[in-house]
Amino acid sequence: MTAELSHSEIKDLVARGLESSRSGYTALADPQGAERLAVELAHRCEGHRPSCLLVWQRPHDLVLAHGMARVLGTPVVRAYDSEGLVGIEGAFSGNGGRVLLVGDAFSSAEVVRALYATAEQEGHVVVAAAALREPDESARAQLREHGIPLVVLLTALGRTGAPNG
Amino acid sequence: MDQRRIARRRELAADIVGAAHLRGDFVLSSGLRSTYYFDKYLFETRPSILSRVSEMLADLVPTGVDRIAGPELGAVALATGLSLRTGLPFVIVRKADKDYGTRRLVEGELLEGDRVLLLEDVVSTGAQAIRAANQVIRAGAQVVAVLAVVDREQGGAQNIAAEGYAYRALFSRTELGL
Repeated sequence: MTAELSHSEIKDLVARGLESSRSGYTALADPQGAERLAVELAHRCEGHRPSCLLVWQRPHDLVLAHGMARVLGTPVVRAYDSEGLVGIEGAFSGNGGRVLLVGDAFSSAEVVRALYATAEQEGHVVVAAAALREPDESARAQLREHGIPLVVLLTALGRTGAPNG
Repeated sequence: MDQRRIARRRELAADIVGAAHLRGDFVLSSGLRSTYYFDKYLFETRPSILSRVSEMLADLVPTGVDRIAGPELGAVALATGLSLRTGLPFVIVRKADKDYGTRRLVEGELLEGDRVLLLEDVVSTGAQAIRAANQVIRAGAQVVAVLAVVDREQGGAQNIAAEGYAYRALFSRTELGL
């Protein structure tokens, strides 16, 4: 499978998902576009050979992860805030799995830390993080701290990320 | 405080910790791992603890309060207990990100200008208490004070005071030995 969307196509599709929301990308504004973006991001993550996708609780991140999981053939685990504790919904595949973190933009260092700690607690390795848009600096710093490569479709400067990080 | 009250307070603290203090390997939503977790529901749902907590909170209710406000979910049981103890009516403050059919952020009767005591179960940074207080104010009432059962000593007291609210907690994290 190869990457197919051009830079301008990615930019347009992300813009469609942003224009109707004040809180970030929304897949529901353009389901077909969201599917295309998910497929593109999945293609760019194949080299990391994930066995499972891990996503934070936000519904639109879950839609993105679902689209990617269909391409990659992996299960999706959803992590969520349960009164200050991280809960998970879904099952990681076995022990020692290769986990791909997925999100629209990883809005905070806490989210990255929570996802990483969850994967680690379950005995898995985080192999990469995949995002539609560039995460904020605190989230990027967390990813760097843990040595997690980042695959991002659209950077803050409007450039598209290179395939496979 | 007389010796009997001190002993009762110490006993209540021990019972709260005994009920709610869990040990294990926990991942917190902040991303930190912890060897313990304080599950507030485990003490709030025990009538023997809830009744004593209500009794002690009643002593901290300022004069002139018209109504108690309990943010969902955890403080609802406490607001109920304190309401029964004091005879003050209460309202439930919804979480702002829920979408309910009535689109009300405060459930129950809240009158314009009501002097409200906001009750929280556990205060960490104070962000949730401040958010709930702002909702009560948007609904037309005044928040005269914030009371909590447990203060985790994570800046909540300072942050709530910075918003201009009087604040007291029944127990601090240190006092509970957490």
